[in-house]
Amino acid sequence: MSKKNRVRVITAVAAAMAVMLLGMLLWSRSAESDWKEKEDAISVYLWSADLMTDYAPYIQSQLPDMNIEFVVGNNDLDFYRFMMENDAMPDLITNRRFSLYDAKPLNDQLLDLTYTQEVGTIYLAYLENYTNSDGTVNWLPLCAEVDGLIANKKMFEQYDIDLPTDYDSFIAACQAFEEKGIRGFAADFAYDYTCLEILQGLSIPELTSMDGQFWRHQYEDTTSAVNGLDDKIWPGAFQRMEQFIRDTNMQEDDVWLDHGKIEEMFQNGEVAIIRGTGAQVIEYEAVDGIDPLFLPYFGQNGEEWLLTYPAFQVALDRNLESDAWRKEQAFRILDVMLSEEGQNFLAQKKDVIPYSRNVKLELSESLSNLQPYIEKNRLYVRLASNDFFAASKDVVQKMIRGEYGAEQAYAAFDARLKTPKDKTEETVRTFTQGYENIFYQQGGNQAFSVMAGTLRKHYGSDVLLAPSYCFTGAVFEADYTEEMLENMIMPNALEAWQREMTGNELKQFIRILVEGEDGCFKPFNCCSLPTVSGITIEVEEKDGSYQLLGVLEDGKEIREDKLYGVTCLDKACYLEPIANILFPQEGLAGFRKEERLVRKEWSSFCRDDGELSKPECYMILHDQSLEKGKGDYTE
Amino acid sequence: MDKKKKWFGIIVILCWLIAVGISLGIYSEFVSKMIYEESSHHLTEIYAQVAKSVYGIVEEKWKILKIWDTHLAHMDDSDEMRSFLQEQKEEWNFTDFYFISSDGNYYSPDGENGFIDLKDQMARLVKDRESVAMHIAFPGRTELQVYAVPSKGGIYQGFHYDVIAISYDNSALLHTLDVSAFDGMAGSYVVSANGRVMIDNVGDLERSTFNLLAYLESHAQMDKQETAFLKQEFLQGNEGVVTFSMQGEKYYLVYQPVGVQDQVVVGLVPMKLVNASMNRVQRVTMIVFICIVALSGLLMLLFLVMKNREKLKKKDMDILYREELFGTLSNNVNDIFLLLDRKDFTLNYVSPNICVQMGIRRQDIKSCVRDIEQEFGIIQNLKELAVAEHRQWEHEYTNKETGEVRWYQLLAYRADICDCENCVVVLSDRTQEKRMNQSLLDALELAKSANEAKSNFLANMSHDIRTPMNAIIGFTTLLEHDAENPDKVREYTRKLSVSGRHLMGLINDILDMSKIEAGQTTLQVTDFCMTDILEEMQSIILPQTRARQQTFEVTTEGDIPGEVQGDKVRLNQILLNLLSNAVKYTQEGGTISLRLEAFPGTLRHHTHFRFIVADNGYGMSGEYIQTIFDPFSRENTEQKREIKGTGLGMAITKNIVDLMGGTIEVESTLGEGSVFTVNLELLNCGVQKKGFLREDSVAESSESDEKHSLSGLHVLVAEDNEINAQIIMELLRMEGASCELTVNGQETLTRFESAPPGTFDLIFMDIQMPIMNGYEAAKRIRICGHADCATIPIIAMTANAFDEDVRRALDAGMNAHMGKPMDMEKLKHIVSDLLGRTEI
Repeated sequence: MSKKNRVRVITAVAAAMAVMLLGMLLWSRSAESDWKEKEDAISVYLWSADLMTDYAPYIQSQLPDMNIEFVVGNNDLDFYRFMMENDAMPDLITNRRFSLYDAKPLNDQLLDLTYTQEVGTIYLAYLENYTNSDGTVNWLPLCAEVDGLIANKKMFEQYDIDLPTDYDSFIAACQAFEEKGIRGFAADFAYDYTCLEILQGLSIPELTSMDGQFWRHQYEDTTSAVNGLDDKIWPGAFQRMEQFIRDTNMQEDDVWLDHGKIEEMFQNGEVAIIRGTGAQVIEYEAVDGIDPLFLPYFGQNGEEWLLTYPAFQVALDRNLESDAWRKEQAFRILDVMLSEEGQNFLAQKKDVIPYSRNVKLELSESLSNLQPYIEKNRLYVRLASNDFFAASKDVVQKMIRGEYGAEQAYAAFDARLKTPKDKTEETVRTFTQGYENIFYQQGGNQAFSVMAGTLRKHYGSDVLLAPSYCFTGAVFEADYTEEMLENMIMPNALEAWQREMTGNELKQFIRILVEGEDGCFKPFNCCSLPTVSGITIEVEEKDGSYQLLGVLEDGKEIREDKLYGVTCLDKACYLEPIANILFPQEGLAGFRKEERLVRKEWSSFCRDDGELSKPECYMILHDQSLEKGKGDYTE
Repeated sequence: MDKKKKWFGIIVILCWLIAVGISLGIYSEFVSKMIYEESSHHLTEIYAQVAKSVYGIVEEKWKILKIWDTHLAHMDDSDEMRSFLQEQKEEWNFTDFYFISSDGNYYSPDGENGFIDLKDQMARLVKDRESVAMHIAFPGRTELQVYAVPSKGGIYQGFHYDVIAISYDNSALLHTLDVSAFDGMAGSYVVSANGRVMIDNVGDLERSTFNLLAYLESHAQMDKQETAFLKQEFLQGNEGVVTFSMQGEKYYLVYQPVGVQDQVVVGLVPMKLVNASMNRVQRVTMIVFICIVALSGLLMLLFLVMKNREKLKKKDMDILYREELFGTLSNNVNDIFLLLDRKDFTLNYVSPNICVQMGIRRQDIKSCVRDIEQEFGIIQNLKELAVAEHRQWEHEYTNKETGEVRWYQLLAYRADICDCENCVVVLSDRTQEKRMNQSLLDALELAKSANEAKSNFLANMSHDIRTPMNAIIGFTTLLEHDAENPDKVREYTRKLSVSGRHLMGLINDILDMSKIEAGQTTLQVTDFCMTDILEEMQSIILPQTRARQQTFEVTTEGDIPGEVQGDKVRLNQILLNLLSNAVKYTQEGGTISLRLEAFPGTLRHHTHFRFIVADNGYGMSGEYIQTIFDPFSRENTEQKREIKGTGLGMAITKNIVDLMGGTIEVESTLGEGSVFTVNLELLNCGVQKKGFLREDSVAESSESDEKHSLSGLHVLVAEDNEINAQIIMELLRMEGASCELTVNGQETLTRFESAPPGTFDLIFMDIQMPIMNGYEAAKRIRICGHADCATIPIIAMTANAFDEDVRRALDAGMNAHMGKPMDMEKLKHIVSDLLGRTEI
């Protein structure tokens, strides 16, 4: 090759290499910048605040590279419908009370999981209850709790009464105890779920028959016209309920029995058999005087059944389909939830029954007697539509009170189911400005700040402290019904507690909220940091934990000797540990509880056109891992 | 042009490469397609068998259940039923048998009860009376395949049943999915239409999955469209094959509906397994193809390289050749090339032949060229040379080495070579031309003098020829007049004969000379005796000398060999010419001598002969002696003017001596006589052979001992010329022979053929005849088949007496040759020789 040609070749090769290098550089830069831009939080709405303390941190710990925003939602699917209408559907939603019937309005907004591995893991027997009429699956159940009867064996031994093995012996046992002046059976009929479960539990054989399954299929079929009870199965169900009420000598006041009362009665030996879950069996084992034995629902035809319901159901937003990265992240969270370890964590030694084929069944000794029922597939998944809950409570309570006989109860139940609901609920407040549910390093969460500030002013406090899970999301620029206003605050039982604190006490309080303490909730990501109003807290993130750097008032460190009127929003069970730490003498007693639940207070305020506060810069977070999208929102 | 060729070559190569690549691609695609189709077909068949197996199992189970149902229906005793079922269990290896109520509750033969949720399949069983097969999974239990058939109904241990069923562990059915053809590498699944896996034989956990479609979407490189297509296919119960990639490996996915509910058998088979042998073939073919292409490419490359090399070599050779050629040309041509710079007339190049041409030494080239430039006026001429002008001039130059004078023509012109102004000066050696011109001028002069001599000769000859002709014609007229006077007739006849012979001699001399000049004279080398020559001379000359009262003596000296080889006739001619001249140019009473001296020759086996002819006659002038051997040369003196002669004798003699390789010298003094000395070397040899007779080989002496006669011969004469024919016939009649005349070769042939054998004694054949010439007629006669055709003598008669004519006569089959006019004595001698007869 001539020298000239050699030079040409070398030049060409060098140019090509330069272009390649440049391209790789640009690509890598673009890839890198592409990754940063997508580092957004994946929103997971949990149906209960109880899940925030352990379960949420567990999930976060399994996915340390992911920014997950856990929000306590509502147990009501209407809550998500409202979010869907405002185009603010979370990436993952969970729900405890579920039926295909109730879930219908959301189906179009939920991801079709039919052809996923996750669906494949669910036993067909249970998947049927989550399969739409068109064969699609949007919701997946997690492990199931078992519901049945809990007998105190000690009492049976004490009174030398045979443990029941079927309905007749159950009734005989109840009557035997009655003769002893002890309630044979009692249940917390104050709750709709108890009414629903006992009503269904007594008729499981019928409900699982061909006709029963046919009716259920029709009722749950979103395209079917059936929205009431059938006339083959259900009349008998109410007859059995009536029979049961009579056989167990239920009183009118039983409709007021709540969990606490039942527990008290059971512990005190005032009742021999209660309705309960497998988890409660384990709890009662630790109680002196109770030797719990889990019993199935005894069918009057001799069959024995366990009633089950999943810990919760989970679904994914359909919008994930258009964002491959977010979809992948969401599925990672789902897989953690559905994993054996995740379900075991959720079960927390509750002896739950897995709905998934990839989760091993491990029953503790306490519930080992359930094995045969499981092996015999005597497991019934309750029908848990909102209508059924409401109708069950209404009708069963009335049956207990003697207002309804079987026929009346059937008719009333059926009528209630068939009554069209007025979906056009009254708008009680229209917000003309919306606030995002986005956490900013400099500022905090706008929507939470608005609600916290509004409540602070409403309660007339200098400072308001609230855990992150109090507020359920953005303030939409939309029309709100009363129900939706209430749904902005969770959990349902959230209460407002007020107390005067010194600056120092306030600081310590906030420190516990930020840094966590034994027995107290410990924030595990930026979205789980508390929301405050009236002050600004400076927090630093270090190795996955948070440290309070300072509490500022008008830009200055608060005076430790100054007294501040403080409102704390929380459930008593979560506030009490903090109170005990800070105020060991008084504990929670040193706090004054507002009468109304916070959600009620809030909805009332909003309904009365109360002015919403502007967002405050309540949080300055020093977190190196948050670079983009978490800037300053302060004006 | 070269660049264009180069780019063209590159484009051609690129096109070829692209063509090869496309061909490879097309072939590869074609083969891949074939492999895919073949493999797909193969796989479809295999998995059709698998699906068939799966369905077969289902069908078999249904069948036996129905059979059992019939049996059970006839049994009243539960124990009998249990026992029967236990036997069946042992035989059929199912996990459990179920009596199932329409509510879904089951009761086993061992009394186990439970709930078997057949969902909507229960309605098919109970209401539609259709058999079903389902995949059942409960927590805490292994996954089962349940086969259920509607029953006639019955009671077992108080349990009312409407359906009977048996279950098998999934693991018991895995064997149906095993496809041994793929070394266990194929993953087989039974899935429902939505991809949910019911049975799989995949041991590898990584490939085990709950939903095959989800697995493919996440693990395989299948996009949504492809999985959607599969979903649709499964739902519609279609069969087919698709391909996909997973973790860098390609797979076939083959699906076949089982025919039971919405179950589908799906196989995932690595492509490399299925296509192993085909791939091998393809690979080998591709390799072979690539090798062939590469080889052909290499060969082409080699060819191109070699061609290029050849081209380069050729170019180099061409350049070298041109250089060599130029060098050779310049060395070997007489032209000298000078290349000078136009500006300062620096010498840039001088052709190397200057050394030879001009006698210059290589080291002196530069300095000498300067001198040459000066001498030839080159610089001056170049200075005056304008653009596009050339100048030409001549110059005489003396070679310094050899002293040779040469003439040069110079041509100077301007030439721009590689943008440099140069002047080219060509020195062309024109010496040869110059000399040639001079030669031509000399030849012209010679021709003029020869022409003049010829004219003189003709002028002379005119007189010499006319004189005897005049006598012949005159005496013929007198004969006519005095025909009645025998004495006068005899006298006139004698004089006619003398004049005729004289004229004949003149003509012969002229002919000899023209033959000599034409180079047609050849020597007839034969063996002869030198003493015979002397004797013959003596016999011929002696009478002439006696007539002029001269004395003639012949002497010899030296050892004369017996026989020598040579042309006796020509030697006779030489001696006769010399002796005849001696007689002619010696006065009466003079003396003439012939002396023969013999020495050993310079060549081996040769004798050197010296013939000395001396006389004391008139002698010759020194001036004449210079031209004595020139044609037509005669001394123009009063004495000699009267002597008759052609002036060609000495020229002829000289030519013959030269032809013989000898020398002839003359010494002469005017008024005292002359001496001619001829030196020859002849080869000593044996006896002279007898050959073709020709008249001049016949002894000159008319006084031979033998008399030859033609009397009594019958001769066939072929002669087209009437006069010649008359003469010949008359002469023959005079000799006593009879003859017949034919006028052409064909007639001669015909006559001879028709004549009885022995009719003719010989044939005289003229050569130049119409229709068929004498040569042809002689040839035909020799082959005609006549009894005498081979033996009859044929004598050629022709005016042409050249050796060529004699040879042609011999080749034609003739026996002898006679020239015209005919010499009867010679003729009789020849005839005598031919017929072997003497005077009868």
